[in-house]
Amino acid sequence: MKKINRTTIGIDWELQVNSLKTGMSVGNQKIEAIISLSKERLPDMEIGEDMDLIEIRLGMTRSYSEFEEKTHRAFRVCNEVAALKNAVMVGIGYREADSNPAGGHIHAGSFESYRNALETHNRLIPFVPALIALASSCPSLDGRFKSIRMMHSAHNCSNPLSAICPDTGRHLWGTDVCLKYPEKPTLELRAADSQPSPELMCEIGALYLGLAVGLAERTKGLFEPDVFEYSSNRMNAVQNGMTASFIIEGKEISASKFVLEYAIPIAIEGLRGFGVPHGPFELASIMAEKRISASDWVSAIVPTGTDKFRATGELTRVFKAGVDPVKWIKSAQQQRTVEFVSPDGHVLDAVDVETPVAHVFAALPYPRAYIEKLLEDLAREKKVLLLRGEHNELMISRL
Amino acid sequence: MKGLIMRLTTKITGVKKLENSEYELELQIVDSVNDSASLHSSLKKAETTTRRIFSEFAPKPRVGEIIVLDFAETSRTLEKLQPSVEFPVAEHGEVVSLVADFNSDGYNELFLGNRCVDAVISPIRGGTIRYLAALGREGLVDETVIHGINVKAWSGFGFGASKPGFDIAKAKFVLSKSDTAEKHSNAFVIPMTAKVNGLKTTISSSMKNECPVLSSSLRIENNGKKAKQKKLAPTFQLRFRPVGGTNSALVCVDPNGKPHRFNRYPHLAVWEWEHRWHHYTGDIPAGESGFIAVHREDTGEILLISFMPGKVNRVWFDKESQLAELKIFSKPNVLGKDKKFEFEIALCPLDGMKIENGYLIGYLESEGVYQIISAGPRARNIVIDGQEISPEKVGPTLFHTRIEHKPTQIALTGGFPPLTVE
Repeated sequence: MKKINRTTIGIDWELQVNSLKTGMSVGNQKIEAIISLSKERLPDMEIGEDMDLIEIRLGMTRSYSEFEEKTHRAFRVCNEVAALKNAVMVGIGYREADSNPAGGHIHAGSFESYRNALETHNRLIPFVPALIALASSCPSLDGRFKSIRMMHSAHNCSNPLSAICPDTGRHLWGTDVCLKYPEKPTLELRAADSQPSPELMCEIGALYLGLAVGLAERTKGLFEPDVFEYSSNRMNAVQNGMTASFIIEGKEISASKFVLEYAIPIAIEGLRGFGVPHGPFELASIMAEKRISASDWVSAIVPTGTDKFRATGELTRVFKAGVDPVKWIKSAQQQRTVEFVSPDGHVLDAVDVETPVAHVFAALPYPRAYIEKLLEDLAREKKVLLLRGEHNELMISRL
Repeated sequence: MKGLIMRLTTKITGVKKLENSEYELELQIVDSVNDSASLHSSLKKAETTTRRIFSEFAPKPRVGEIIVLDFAETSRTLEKLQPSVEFPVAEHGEVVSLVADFNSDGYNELFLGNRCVDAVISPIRGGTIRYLAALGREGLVDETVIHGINVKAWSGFGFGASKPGFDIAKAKFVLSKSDTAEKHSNAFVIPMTAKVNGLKTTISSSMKNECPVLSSSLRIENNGKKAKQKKLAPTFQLRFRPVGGTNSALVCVDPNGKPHRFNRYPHLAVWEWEHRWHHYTGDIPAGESGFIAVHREDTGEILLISFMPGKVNRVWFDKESQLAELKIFSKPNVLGKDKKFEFEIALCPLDGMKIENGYLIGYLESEGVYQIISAGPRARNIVIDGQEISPEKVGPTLFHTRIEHKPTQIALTGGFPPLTVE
């Protein structure tokens, strides 16, 4: 019996709406006006507002052509309406001027049983870091992260995952992949950054859907992923995007190779019958081969160190001019893979002087017990000093 | 540019290609961002130029496009368009006040200064303090903001679902005309007023001669025939700018002397009504002592903040935002008809301090004179090299005296350990 009875996809695509007068957010009043007009022109979709962003909610689509057509149409129409209000939609994962994250949430379905959705959820976990890397679109202006949105776990709207146990687990909103059943028959990927063009949004969306369906159909039984590998791979993806290296089943592999040799083949298999045109994932393959994502395109336009208001203004100008990021991706130079950064490296990076351990827990995606063990190891190696505060709370100083 | 945080938005009116990807742009100012005040009319459509390198992957700049100037470009443009007014100099024994445009933004600010500190307050921006520094120092204050929030907004604090009924920070305060000319005196209390959500709101800035304390008091009066009961809980927000350093050099010291060092990473994120994320690292136990100190470790600069202890709910410190912040939350108040709400904050730069058991002793040296400051819930005599002196109250929990020579040790009566003056 098939785990996914009918392949469906929907996206909740959050987009910044920036003013052509100031370069910054156009403000809630205008966003509401743009939504109201867009709704009239897109009666088959739900266009809404989410925290100073416009959100294109596609609804359920049942074929690739329908998904692609609706995504492109929604983006075009909303942009036309925005232009009437002297605004433009900017599709990147973070607006630096006001620290506002924007996600490209993808709903893969449709599941008809909780158990099937749950099993697929757990199977998807090792692939989430690769999706974060491929979808990264918001480099931090200090040059440290390829997705500043995911560094902050989208301000607690896309938190690190845990495998769910069918007997005792509860599904929670706000994780990298959300189990929506039975409210919705889908698994929602929340970890993807908003994308700068409909082509990229469709490519990331289809890849995630293909993975969900492919994994659902090719695997049996409950899978217990290695949460340590997932956590460290997630951090590496957030830091280095498609140049990252991962550890999969104990072996180091580049994000590029993982996407090309594992993720895309599974996704192609998963999307059979969904009407994907010949040569699927051409764009994702190019991005994986070149080890680039939309984040690198943004960095090419707004270099590291740029004033955040100037950067936001410049991106508004670039989106107004309709610059095509896909064209840049196709002509960009290949980048080199960066070595895997180990969890203790991340822990050290999160520690300052007398840092409360709670802050390290909050900053990193690792399980708490694992962080404690890493801290003990680092203390033995005399790289950190473990202290107790006045309330006996654990604090860490870097040596 | 003392006290400037805005950026200018400009329209391109002329483009000249230089070498490589560099362009010389002729610009017309159209708006400003990151500022609670709207662009001053004298700057609207003003012309300027800048040179910029554009990414080869971005479209070439074209006439009619909008670009946002960065901080350096904005400062340069403003200074060129209307040179800023220099701070007046106070003579010994006096405070000087002057209302003029000190940061070239077109709006007048209030300057208060003596032989110890200079302060700039912006009436148009909700009476915020834009600059405060001891003479010869950089100063830690980027700006202060007084938010007036109603209880409805407070309850929606976590998700920003509700909006405040009013915000003092967005009010345009007006100074009395008699206060605009340069004046010299031994003390000033200069009020500025605004009507905020139907309430007469007054912020009074005060400074005394030979005393390094700037005091800012807020008074909200619910008078008038149609006055109704209102709920409010103003907050005092202080942003820090460690010029030439980083936020990680800042340490908040509580009244028990405990330094609060926070990691770069947040553990609590809060969506505020201004649609900005804040990452508060947690409460500072200010207790009933009514003060908190912020210490910049790399330069030794200290800013002492004194407030009314009975009226404060909590103090939060934030090192994660672009500029480190401290927020002092007043307790929610129900303001009945013909009632008034009062809240006072005093700020004092210091060179050295010692804090223990809810009390502080500190000093600021200026021109060989030592300003001695103590802070705590009750007045205690100051002991300077064994000699006991009764200090003068200069803030909600601040006390002051001064000596003309360098002391060796200063302490408080009641068993407070002495601070050695370096």
